[in-house]
Amino acid sequence: MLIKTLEKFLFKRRSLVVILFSIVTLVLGYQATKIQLDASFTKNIPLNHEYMKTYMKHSADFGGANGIYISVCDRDGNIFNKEFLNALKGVHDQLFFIPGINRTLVKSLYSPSTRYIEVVEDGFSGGPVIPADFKANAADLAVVKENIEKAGIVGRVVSDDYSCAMVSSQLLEINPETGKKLDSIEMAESLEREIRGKFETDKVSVHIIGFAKMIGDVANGAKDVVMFFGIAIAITAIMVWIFIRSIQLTILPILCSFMAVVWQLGMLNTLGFGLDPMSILVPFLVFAIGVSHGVQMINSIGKRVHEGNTAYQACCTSFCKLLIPGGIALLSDTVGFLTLLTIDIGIIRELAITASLGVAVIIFTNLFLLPVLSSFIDFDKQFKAQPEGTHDNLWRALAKFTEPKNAAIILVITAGLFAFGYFKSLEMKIGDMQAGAPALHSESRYNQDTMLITDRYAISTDVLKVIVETRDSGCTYHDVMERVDRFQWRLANVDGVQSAISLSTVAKIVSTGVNEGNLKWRSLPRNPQSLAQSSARIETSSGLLNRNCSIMPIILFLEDHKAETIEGLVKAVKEAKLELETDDIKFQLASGSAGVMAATNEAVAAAQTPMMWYVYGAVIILCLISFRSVKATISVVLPLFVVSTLAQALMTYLQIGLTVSTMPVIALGVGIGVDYGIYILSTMVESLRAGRNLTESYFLALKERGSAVLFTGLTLAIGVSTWAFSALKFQVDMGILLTFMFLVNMLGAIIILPALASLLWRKKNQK
Amino acid sequence: MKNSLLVPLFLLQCCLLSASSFAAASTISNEINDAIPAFKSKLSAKSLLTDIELVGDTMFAVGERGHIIYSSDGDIWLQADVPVNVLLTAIKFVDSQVGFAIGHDQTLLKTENGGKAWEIVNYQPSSDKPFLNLDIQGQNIVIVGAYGLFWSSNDGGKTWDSTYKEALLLEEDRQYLQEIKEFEPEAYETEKQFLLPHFNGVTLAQHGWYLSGEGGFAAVSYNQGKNWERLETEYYGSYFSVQELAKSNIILAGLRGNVFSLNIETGDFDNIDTPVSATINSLLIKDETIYMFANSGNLFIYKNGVVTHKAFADGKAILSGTQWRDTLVMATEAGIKSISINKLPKQ
Repeated sequence: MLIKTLEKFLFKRRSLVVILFSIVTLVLGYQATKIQLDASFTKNIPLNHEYMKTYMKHSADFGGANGIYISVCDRDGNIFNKEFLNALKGVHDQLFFIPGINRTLVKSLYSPSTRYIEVVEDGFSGGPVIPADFKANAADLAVVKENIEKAGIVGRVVSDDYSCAMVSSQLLEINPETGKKLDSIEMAESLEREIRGKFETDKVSVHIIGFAKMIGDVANGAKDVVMFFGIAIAITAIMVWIFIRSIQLTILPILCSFMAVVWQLGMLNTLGFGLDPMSILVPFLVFAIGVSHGVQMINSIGKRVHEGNTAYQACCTSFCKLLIPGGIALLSDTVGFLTLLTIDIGIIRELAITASLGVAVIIFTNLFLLPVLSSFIDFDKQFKAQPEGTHDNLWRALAKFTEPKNAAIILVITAGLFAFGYFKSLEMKIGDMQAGAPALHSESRYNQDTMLITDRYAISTDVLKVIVETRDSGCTYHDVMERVDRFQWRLANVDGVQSAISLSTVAKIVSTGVNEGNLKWRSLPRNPQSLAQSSARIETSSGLLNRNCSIMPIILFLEDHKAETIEGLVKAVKEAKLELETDDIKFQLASGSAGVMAATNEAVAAAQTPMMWYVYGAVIILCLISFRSVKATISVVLPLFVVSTLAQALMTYLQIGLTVSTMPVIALGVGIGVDYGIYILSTMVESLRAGRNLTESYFLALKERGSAVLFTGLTLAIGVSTWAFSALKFQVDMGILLTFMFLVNMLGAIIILPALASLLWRKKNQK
Repeated sequence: MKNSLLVPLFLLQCCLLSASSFAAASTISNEINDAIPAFKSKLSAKSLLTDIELVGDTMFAVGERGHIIYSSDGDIWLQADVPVNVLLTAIKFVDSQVGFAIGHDQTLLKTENGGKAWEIVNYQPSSDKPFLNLDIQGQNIVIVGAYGLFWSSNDGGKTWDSTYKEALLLEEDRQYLQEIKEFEPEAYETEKQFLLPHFNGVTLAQHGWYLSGEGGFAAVSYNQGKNWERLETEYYGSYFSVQELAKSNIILAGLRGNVFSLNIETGDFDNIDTPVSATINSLLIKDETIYMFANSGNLFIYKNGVVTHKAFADGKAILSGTQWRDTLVMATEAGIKSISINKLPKQ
């Protein structure tokens, strides 16, 4: 009834409807042109995770995990020359003045905190590594080299082989010039322009790494993504034309699906969101889901026109027929994606909003507007005259899947695949699986720079900090420092930890220093005054203590940021914590880049199962409501579940770790697959209820909707497979995953679904 | 303390301290229950080691965090059970079964099963003074440490005497002590604790016993430690090691690569030139060759009046060494390091 009312409402005033949609499109289209790529570091972090509370609490004192590392290298392999040192000074000064850089933490050979100390007969002698009156002549260069060695900064500020020197700092959360959130992509551009652009020459090379640079490079690569979208759309258009043989019916679904993307982007911008480079494939997914529904619609319209209906009649009927299954599929997607909002990671919430908006909009553009627009088409005789039932033989063959013997074979194979997929999916790793940035190809400039830096320096950029919280002036108490030292030693012994440093390390070195550099004194003095002299006098700019030394991080340098490395370390930290923590000496996880990853990995692992429950919950409930049949619901959901599991196995196989950027893909995959099942089954259930047997019902469903399902799966898979040529590793991975999802979900719907149905509706089958 | 930076700081910062912590230091009590056993660590052979000793064919090394490690093949190092986790500074054996290791907090450890397990003989964290070196000659054992700590045993370590070597004070310090002894007995006790220099090295040799220490300190005893006399040297930096070359002839090595040979009878004091000014931590005399183990990865080899030099690229301080078969095995800041004797620079 409701549908009839809606049909009258839409089709009686169809010109008005078209005008209304055009106006909305114009408005939102204008908004969409203003959409910005938007990436911030904190968005990728589970801010309410306990580790991240520690991280946020102390980020003012110790900086965050959002570091930037610039290695300036001499192409001849020796930094001791005038030209190089001038360039290094230039980079240091330039970095200092880029807005958003934490100026107090800019560190290089040229920062005043880079000093050396040496022991001489009558005490200490020390000074800046590069003397104030430095002239870059041979004698001065030799002095600098000596000072570098005395300062013990080889491997950190200067590379092991003296071919490079490091300028590092951290990024602020808020840009002090604009007062707004720091724009990582703009920061990456500044670094490229102001640092690499100005200082990279034939003699000096500049290597920049850090989250902001990585996301900037991803955003750059993301510009190509638009081109790949274009290719995918073009392929889709050609295929649709081959399928339907009508220019109008080809243009309309693509236009409507595109309109959905425009609306989505426009609404996002209106709501104040940007598009994250890592979520850039969502608009394409919206387009793909739109095409899937659009093709069902034009397929239905085309069939009715071939049967001799007028365009108007054909469109009205198709609208009524498809509103329920299409609407249910889209609604379950929307609700499913919305449930992702419960996951407390900014970027996943954004994705929940982006994706659910996009899918909801398709209801309007492809289920309402598309049939209304199509009703204006004046189909030519040639199109009308096309014969019906050309594929009946194929459908007859496929319908045999419902025969008990075939069904049994299919189900056994499916069960086998599922078991294989399940066990493989258990091996799926959480977090990043390789060194460098997994979103970028290993031969990309960014990952090459990462390799150079990990190669030439002793200190890795994968850092986990355990924050020691204790009483005021804690570092002057032997019991505190001794515990910090013991805790640090435990962790230094954990596999994957390259080295560890804390205030106690430095205090022991100072203690050695005041005892004439005699290493037999490299121990924490018990006398509070001597201890204070060794520890409290260390500057806060070292990042090892706060002003009243009640907070001291233990900094652990890791060999890499693989999930296992981080997981093993976190476990060891928790064990040591149990043993060594007291009422007023607390060891808190975590800060540093690996600390953030630890929290993110844990949050992702914790969110994985609930997310699947929510998405499947939404699909199951909406299927139950619409089909009012448990059997039908099982037939739709079970194949989807098998495909999700196989997709996870594929991720394991492709070495794609589960991260904030890859996790939602599995949920999105469900969204892609659910359409096929619901369309096929809605016809089938209708036919079964009308009293036909299963094979006949399935045959009718295939005849009515099968070609659209088969076609959509193939078309989108072909379109997406071109992504394998993308400059972004992330897009390549996603291309493979989505190709798999489109194809295998389609196969699931036309092979597993009937076999399951044969098992569930055994009685109907025997007739 | 003679360190120019340390002294003013010490005075500035320590106005509040004397009564409490110094008094505690003078209370001798065994605080064994506070000791924390050493953590068994995969890094024990790769972290700071201060001394290495060959016993039979087994090498023993001690280092930070109560590490005592041993190896019979120079390759696999095992970590012994040690009841303390403080920085250990030296190790020596009486015979193949009984040995002693010393360290911070006046830690004295004893083994009776060839170094596999160790027991605490003395542990006094409240003193805040480390033992720094020990030597053994027959049943005689001498342990020296910070601020003139001097422990000795003449029965192979069954009983110990701790003595204050007043005779080794500088003349002006002795007078100062005498003055305050009468009027301020409390201050006298306190001051006394810190007036002697650090005794960095001890050698019980054929013709005499020798001490080396802070601020150009060197001393000799010809009657097995009963009486000591201070030796005058023309160097005011610290000595870390002393060895006997011949009767009345010793070699002193110390801060910033300063090495001297001293003839006690004639007073001849000759500088032995080292190519790099790196502090020498200890000396090893073997087959007419003197190995000098120094900071910043430097090894000086002195033979027939000529010094040759080997610099290890990692720049890690070398604290001690021993010759094991045809290999020089060293205790360094970064753990065990070995080099074949053949690969050392020839003259």
